[in-house]
Amino acid sequence: MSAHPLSAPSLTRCPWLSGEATDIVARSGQQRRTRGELCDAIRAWANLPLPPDREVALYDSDPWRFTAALLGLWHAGRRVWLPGDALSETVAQLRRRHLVLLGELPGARPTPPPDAHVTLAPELSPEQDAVVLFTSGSSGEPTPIHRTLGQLEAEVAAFERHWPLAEGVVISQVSHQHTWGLTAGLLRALATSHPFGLEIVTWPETLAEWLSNVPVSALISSPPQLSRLPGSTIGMPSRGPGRIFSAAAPLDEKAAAQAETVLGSELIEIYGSSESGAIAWRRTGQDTIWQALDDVRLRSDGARTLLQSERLPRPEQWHEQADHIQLLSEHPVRFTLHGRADRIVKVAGKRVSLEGLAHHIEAFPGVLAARCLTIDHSGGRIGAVIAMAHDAIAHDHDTRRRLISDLRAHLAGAFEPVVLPRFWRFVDRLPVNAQGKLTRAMARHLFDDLDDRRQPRWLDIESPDPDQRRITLEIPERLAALEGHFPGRPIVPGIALIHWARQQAERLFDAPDRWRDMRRVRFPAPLLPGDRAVMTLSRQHDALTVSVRSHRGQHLQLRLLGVDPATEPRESS
Amino acid sequence: MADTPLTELERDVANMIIEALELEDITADDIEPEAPLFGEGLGLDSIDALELGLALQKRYGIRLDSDAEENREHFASLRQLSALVAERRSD
Repeated sequence: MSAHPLSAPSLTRCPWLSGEATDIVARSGQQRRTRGELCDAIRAWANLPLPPDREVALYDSDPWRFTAALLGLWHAGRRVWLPGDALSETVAQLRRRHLVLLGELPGARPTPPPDAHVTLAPELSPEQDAVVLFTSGSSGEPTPIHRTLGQLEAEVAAFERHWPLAEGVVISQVSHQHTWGLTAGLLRALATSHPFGLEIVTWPETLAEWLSNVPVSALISSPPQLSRLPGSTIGMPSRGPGRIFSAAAPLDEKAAAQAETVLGSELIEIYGSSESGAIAWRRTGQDTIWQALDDVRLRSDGARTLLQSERLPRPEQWHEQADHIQLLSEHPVRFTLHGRADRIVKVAGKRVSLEGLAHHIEAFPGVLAARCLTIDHSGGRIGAVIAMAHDAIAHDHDTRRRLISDLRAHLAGAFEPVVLPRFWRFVDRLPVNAQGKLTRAMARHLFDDLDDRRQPRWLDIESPDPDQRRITLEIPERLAALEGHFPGRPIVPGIALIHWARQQAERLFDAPDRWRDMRRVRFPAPLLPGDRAVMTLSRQHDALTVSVRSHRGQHLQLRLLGVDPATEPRESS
Repeated sequence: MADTPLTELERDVANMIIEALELEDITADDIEPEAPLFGEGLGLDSIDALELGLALQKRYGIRLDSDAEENREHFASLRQLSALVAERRSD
C-alpha cells in the first residue's frame, strides 16, 4: 500500500519519487496510474528546454497532466503561474507578462513525451518560489499571490495534523488552478503519498459511482457542489468518504448538515483566502463558531482583524485581514465571522470583483453607469443595475433580449460564464439616497419582482410636481398573472393593471383604502411580457388620473375617486 | 421566435429550464429546439447543468447516469433533452 502514516507530510522531500514504481499514485473508478508513469512524466517536464529568461504559466484541466507538469517544472527550479481559467482576457494578460504558455493554454508548447533517463533532484528547497495564483481572476487587474514551497507545505501539514487522512483516494470537486483545489485536492495527496483522483468529480451521480468503486479518504469540495447533492441517501452508496472538506465560499449550515447525512461523513469547512491561505475551521453542520488552525494566531484590534500565519510571507508579523471577526476566546482561538469588508464576491466558488464587472459593463456603448450585486436567487447569481441613455434602453421583449445577449457577449471574453449577471435592470439613472449613494438595499429593491411574482419590475419614480408621479415599470416574462392569460399569446390582464395602479396610488399619495372608486376604465392596447411602460398618476382635487403608456401606445386609462374615510358615510346606499 | 414550432413536451421542458434556472428574458418560444443550451446558444453554464439535473429528477423522476460525456449529449439542445425525457420519464 502506498500510504506512509508515520512520516510527516512533505513537499520538499518529494515523496512522489520514493516507493515502488508499481505503487498506485492516481486513480479513477476504472483507471489506475503508477508511480513509475508519474515519475517518467515528471522527468520529461523537468528536462523540457525553456527560455531561461522567461517564466511559465500552466493551465491544464486534467489533474494527471497538470500534476506531472507542475512537479516537473518544480524539479527544473521553475516558479509556475497558475491562471484560474483560460479565457481570452486572461491569456492576453499572461502574454503581456511574457510568460511561456503551457498545458491547454492557446499556442502552448506540446506536452513532452515521458522520459526515463533524466535524474531528478531528490529534494526541493522550502524557499523555492513554487506558484503564483491570482486573487481575483475576474476584475480588470487580478492580483498575483506568490507561494513558496514551504508555505504550501505548511498548509498541507496543518490539514494533516488536524485531520490525518485515512487510506484511500483524495478526490476533488474543485479545480486545482485555484488555491483550495491545489493544496487540499492535489498537494495534500502528494505530500502524504495518497492517490489523487484522475478526474474532477463534478456530478453527484459520478460521485456516487466513485464512492461505490473506490475507497475515498477525503472529498475536497465547495458550496456549489455540496448544496446540489440529492436530497436523500437513495442511490448513494453506503460507504462515504473518510471526511468531506469544503472551502472557497461560505457554506450554508443546512447544506452542510444535509451533505453529512447524504454522504454519511463528517464535513469540515475551512475558512481562509487566497492571500492568507487556510485560517480556521468548523463543523458547519453542527457549529457556527470557528476555531483557528493550530499554527495561526488571530487578534481583533477594534475594527481590524490581525493575523499571524505560517502561510504568509512574514509569519512573525501581524497582517490585516479584510473580514471582520469577533473573538470569543484566545486559547484556543475561537471566533465568529461577520462579513467580508471588500466587494469581492464568489459565485459558485469563482471570485469576482463586483467593481471590475461593473467597470466592464460601463465600457459598453450607451451605458452611463453600472452597479453589480449578488442576488439570493438561482444559487446566488449576480444582478446588474445599468443606467443607460434613454434611447439605448430596451422597450420590449425582443429588444431587451438582444441587449442582454450583446452585454453577455461583451463580458464573455473577460469573465467566466457563472459570474456573468443573470438578472438585469435597466434604468435612466442609478437610484441614490440622500447622501448621493446607491446602497445595496436600494439596488436590491429593483429585483423585488423575483421575490413576488405578482409584481412588475418597479424601476424608477419621478415627481415632476407634488401632484404627479411617473413610475417606470417592466413586465417580467414570468409574471404570475400571465399564466393562462392566454396560452400561446400572453398579455397582462386588465385587473392586474388596475391593482397595480391602486397600490401605487395608496402608497404614493399616502391614503390607505382611499382610492376605492373608479371610473372610465379603458384598456386601449394589450401590455405584453417584456414591455417597458410608464405609469403616470396625476392628482386633481379629489381624483387621480392614471395612465400606462409604452412605445406601442396606451394600455390603461382610469380615474380613481377619492373617498375620504373620515367623511365617508358609514352605510353605503 | 424560433423557426420551428415546439412540440408540447418541448414546451414543457423549456418551461422547466426557465423556471429552474430563473431565466428572466427568455420564454419557451425563444428557445430554438436544435440550438445548444450551453455556451453559445442559451448561454447556460456548469452550475446550471447541476440545477437542471435536479430539476429533471423533480419534474420527471429522471436520474442522470454518471457518464459525463453522455450527459453532455443529453444537454446538447432542447430537442435532445426532450428526447431523454420522453424515453425515461417515470412521473
